Amino acid sequence: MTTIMALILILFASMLLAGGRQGFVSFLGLIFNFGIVFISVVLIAMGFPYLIVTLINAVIILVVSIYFGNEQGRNADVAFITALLVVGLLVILIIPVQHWAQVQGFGVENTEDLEGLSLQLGVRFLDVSCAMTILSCLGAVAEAAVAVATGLTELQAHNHQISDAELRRTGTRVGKEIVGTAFNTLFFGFYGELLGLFIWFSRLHYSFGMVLNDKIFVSQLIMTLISAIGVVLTIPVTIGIVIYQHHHQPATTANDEHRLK
Amino acid sequence: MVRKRPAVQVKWLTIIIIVLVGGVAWLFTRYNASFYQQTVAQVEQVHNGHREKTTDEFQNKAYQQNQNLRLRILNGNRKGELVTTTNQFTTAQATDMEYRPGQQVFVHLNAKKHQKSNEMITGFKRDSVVVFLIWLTVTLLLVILKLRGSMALLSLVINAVLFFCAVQLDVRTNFNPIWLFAGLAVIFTVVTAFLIFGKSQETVVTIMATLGGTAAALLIAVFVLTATNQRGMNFEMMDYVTQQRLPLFYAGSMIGALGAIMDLSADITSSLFAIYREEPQLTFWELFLNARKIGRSIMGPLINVLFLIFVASTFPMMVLFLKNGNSWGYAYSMIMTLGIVQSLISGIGISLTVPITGLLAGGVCEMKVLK
Repeated sequence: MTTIMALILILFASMLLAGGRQGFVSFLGLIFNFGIVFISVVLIAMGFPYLIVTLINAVIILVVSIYFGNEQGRNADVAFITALLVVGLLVILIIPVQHWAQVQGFGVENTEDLEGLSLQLGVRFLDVSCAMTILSCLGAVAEAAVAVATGLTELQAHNHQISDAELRRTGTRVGKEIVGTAFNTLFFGFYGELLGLFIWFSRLHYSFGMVLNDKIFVSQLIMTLISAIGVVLTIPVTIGIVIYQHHHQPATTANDEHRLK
Repeated sequence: MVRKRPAVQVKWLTIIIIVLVGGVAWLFTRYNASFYQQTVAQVEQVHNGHREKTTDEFQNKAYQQNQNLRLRILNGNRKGELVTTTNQFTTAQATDMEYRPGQQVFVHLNAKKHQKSNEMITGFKRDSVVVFLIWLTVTLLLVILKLRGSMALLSLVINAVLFFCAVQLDVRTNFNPIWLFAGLAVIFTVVTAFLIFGKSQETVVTIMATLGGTAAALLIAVFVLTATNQRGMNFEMMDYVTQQRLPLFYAGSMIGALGAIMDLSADITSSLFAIYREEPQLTFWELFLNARKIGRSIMGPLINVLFLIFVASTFPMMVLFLKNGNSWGYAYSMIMTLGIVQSLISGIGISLTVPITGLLAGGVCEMKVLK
């Protein structure tokens, strides 16, 4: 048995142990998401337009991440609309930032890995970088959107006459917890991913300035900061959508409709 | 109406301060050449040559193009001098790039002063982008969450400093990196838990649950990798290796999962203690089931966050391998397996944290009743 197969079985067992049926559905969601990410990179390598491939697959990943393994209802709908809006904003940020930072492809630290490989390819690695950054932020945005939306819709279900100010206050309070949570996840993920590189920097006595301008370091830092920005943006966008719906459709009927479903 | 006015004025003042801080920081990165030891130059003029078509052995059609660049040196004893150099870039721009006027680069100047074309560009200056994104993140955090957002920033800064110290220790000593970074994980956990909860029972439970979950993930990883002889994992493609691969891989996986595990156990602990305070008559088993209920809805999205980051990071290498005539299966097994194993280890840690936190938090709550 390969290592990956064994670990997949253990992950399956522990998700089942921790979450029962919901754990099973989340596990399926992960496998499905992996398939989508893998197809994305293959399609981009085959020369399909990267932005179309990435955006379509991003929407699919958001659907899977938000509707799989969550109780479906108004909170999931709000979270999905929020996530779409935030990812849209992030894409508008990611593309110019990637052109500005020029972190596509490989750094001098990769030289050894590139031996014997042709770099005269028809694919623009700047596009690959944009696709990578867009797909990598989806998980963080989806997680934050679900958490804030659930907190707000629960509050609204308890009290239909709730004021905008109260919604804003609660949204910000839930948001604060989410930001603390997500930042730890994101930055520890960043350290874990780049541990080897940081040791490399230290062994070869890179100066602070060299690290700050290093292609790989900046590339990964951009991914992490974009996800962090996505998480923070999720808070006002969710609050805005909940308040908008609160005013434009009576809360009672909206809730009843979903109960009937 | 009268009350609205000061609020608006404060907002304007905030916006002005934010823009001013951002502008000053950006200007600083444009004019900070004198702080660098390396020579910094700015691209002043670009003359593009004609495009040459290329075809490699895998029938990849691309072009390469030459540029003549005129650079102005911004620091050192040749500051202000204009030099010319040539640059070649390809369609892919994987290791090279197309320069445009206004961009700043690092150059290596030849010792002989008048040897004109040998000025070599050694790197691209990216500090402006980094500063811009940090400015944007901090601004959004403080505008949207006000002062409450500063706690997240504080914990970020403390953790970054701790991580830096651990890396220094790893390089300067011969400790096994697994033990070294396990020690770091303990310190990270204790510091972060105190920042979230202060001095309380929640802190103790969170620390114990986080360490339990991380240790479980690491032990399972070591056990499985040893038992299966790492079959199917290709460590030769592991990036940036300067020391033994396997311990480094374990240490990276442990640190990578730690943040998510910590967050999950903190979330469950705080909700469970809140429930217990409202209904102190709940039994251990009911508390445990509550922990599972809270945990299972966070668990999936949290595993997803790390999974997407770890897998998406392999994109450039995947594209390179696929375009070099390798099959999907070979590219997957060479490039993606390490990232997937890392996500699986963190996933196992995250899901096991749910019952571990439930047991610990339920136990601590019940013990208080017995007293």
